[in-house]
Amino acid sequence: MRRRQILLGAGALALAGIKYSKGANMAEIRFELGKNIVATAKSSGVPGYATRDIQGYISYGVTDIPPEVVAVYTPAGFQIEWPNLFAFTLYADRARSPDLLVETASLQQRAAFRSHQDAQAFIEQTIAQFKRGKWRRYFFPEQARLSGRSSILDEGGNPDPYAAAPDPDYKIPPVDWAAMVGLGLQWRWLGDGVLATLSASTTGERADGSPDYSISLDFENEAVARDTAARNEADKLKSLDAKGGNATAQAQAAKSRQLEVNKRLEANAVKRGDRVLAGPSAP
Amino acid sequence: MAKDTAQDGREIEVLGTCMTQAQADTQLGHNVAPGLVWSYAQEEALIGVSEQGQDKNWRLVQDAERRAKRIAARYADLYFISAERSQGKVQFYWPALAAFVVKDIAEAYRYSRDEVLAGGWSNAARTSTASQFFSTLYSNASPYEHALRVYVALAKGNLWLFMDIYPWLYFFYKFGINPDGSLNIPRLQDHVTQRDASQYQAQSKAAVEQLPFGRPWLARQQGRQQADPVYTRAASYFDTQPTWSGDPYSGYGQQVASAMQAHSYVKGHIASYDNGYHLPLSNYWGKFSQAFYVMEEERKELARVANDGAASAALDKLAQFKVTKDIQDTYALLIAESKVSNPSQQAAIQLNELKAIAKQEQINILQPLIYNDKKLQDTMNLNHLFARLTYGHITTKYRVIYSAQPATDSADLQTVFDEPTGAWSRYTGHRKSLPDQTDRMEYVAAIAKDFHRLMQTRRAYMEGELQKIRGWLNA
Repeated sequence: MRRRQILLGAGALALAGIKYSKGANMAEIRFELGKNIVATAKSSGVPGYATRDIQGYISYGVTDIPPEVVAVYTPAGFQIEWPNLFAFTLYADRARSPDLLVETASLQQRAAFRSHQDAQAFIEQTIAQFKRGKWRRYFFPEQARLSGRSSILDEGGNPDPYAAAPDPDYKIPPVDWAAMVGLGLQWRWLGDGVLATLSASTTGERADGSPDYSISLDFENEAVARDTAARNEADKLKSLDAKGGNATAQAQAAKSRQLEVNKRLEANAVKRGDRVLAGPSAP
Repeated sequence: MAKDTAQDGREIEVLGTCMTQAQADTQLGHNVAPGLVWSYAQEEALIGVSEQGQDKNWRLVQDAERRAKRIAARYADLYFISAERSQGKVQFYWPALAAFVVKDIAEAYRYSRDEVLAGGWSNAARTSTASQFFSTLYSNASPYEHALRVYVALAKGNLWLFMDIYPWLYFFYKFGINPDGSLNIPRLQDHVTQRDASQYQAQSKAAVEQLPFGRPWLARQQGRQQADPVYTRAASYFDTQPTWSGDPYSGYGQQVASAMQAHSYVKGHIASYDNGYHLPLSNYWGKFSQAFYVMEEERKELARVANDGAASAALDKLAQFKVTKDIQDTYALLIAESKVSNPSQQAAIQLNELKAIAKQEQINILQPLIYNDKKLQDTMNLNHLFARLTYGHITTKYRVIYSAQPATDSADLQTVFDEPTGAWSRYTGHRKSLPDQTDRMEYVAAIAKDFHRLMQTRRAYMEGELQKIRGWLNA
């Protein structure tokens, strides 16, 4: 695809760097992880960033992005295009990476949907892109690996977005969607060491009566994300134990209980005709 | 004969012992009416902003600035004690962000006092005759009027937000988490709908009704304002009206001399007629070089607030403390958080909890209570205009600083409202309005994103700052 730079004097200087796709007539923010944050920011096409450095945690962020701009995650085979985003932020950690390699990119949707159906359609379009690429479904160790409707049901057969990992291949019925999205829905994929998380949630309604959605798409270095979460959890439990609690023991017991629950979820899934995918929690 | 010691230290003879129950360690469950349990949670909020006197009675801290510090500390405290009581199954998230925000409100009070209301040469850019002239010309209000408007709005919004939200969370913490750290889910789901100020225990109910900015308080304040002997005496220095021709001793010089006497009198005597009805509290007025002029603006602003029927009606409704969908969603999210065992899932739910309470905070409470006020909108929009044009040098930006420090020159430590992306947009770009609920919720979303990322990647730093803020529990 041919591209050209638009530079129209001083007024357009603020837009310098935004690349326009001639065919689609859309501006793009192009990015990937693993390269220096300054170089990534410069080549992204965003004209200006607000930068922060809090205890060595560096961020380059921009908000109020024009609606016609599309964010493009560029690695070959894993390309994802995300339109109508409101905010885009890159993160690097000096403590872990003196070269300030980008370890996270966070995209926030404008999410002005008139109905749940519109929001669900947008999510499904995003999911379809992940399915076309080389992305693979991602599970936390404690999550049941189920397909179909079983991936959104608890032991009692009630919709529960946290009972297991929602199956991207399963089209959630509108009534279940509306029941669950208040608690938040997440779909996760792994691709070339990058964890992608698509999140959708609502907080009531907007003034015009439409559902008030928050939708985000995060790309993270999976190893870093896993280590950070594990360290935070260990620190929290250690701190609580030091105050006379038994948080570590309780957390361990909760994980054991979850594995037992997973066995029952898996049995229920088989009865429903859904599949149990291979992995640590499979029989 | 056996002997024992009574609680007051007196030695007593033990004539015999008997069992009050047939079995040792018997416990008796007793159902307390929900209204009284909610009353207890409300009392905890009242105690948080009160001091106990020698007579054992609790009295509201009169200084809105000290209240703000205590409120920030209470929010920080909720973050830590919720994790402790539940053994890590639930950790309230919004209060951690709120602690930083309220800490910045405490700084906004100081800024209003020291950088605007104090006047004088060092603040000439904000309060000199030229600045007063420009401000009045541009907005039909003096810099003192603008500063007091924000000061009063913050005092009102901060206190009543705390009175609403703290008990929702304190109830969850105190009565929704069992001693073993598990949740009492049936109680939480049942009682969340039963908070109602009209069912509170009598003293709790009365204490809420008499809080600042409620109708009874505003009536008392206006009555005192009408009868204020300090104002009457200070104003009397202007009884000799200046004449601008003829007698050289009765023109401009007379006006200046009268004003100096009035300012001096107000500074020296305001404490004698305060009792918590001045904003700012009288102990801050010693630094106000034009104290009489500040007092005139304060009287106008508080009279305006007292006559704002829509805001008072909104407060009447809020003060019933009835459940909203956002609070029910919050409880559902906290219950969901307790059920997941993976920390990343827990973090995702925490972020949603933060957003749900932020909606309660911004849309259900602060919008009708303060932000619908057209005059406040004008003031805040003007402040934002100057903050953008002057890089925050003439007036402060709207921002959240992720530090226990009250202020920072570092652009790195803060999330700024409607920050220009370049020099061009600073002067010509479309400006957003903080009182506009759509613009403000976009800002809240940006803050939530920054805060969440920092809490995931710099947890030790953020919790260290929160512990410092928590140290203000008895500020």
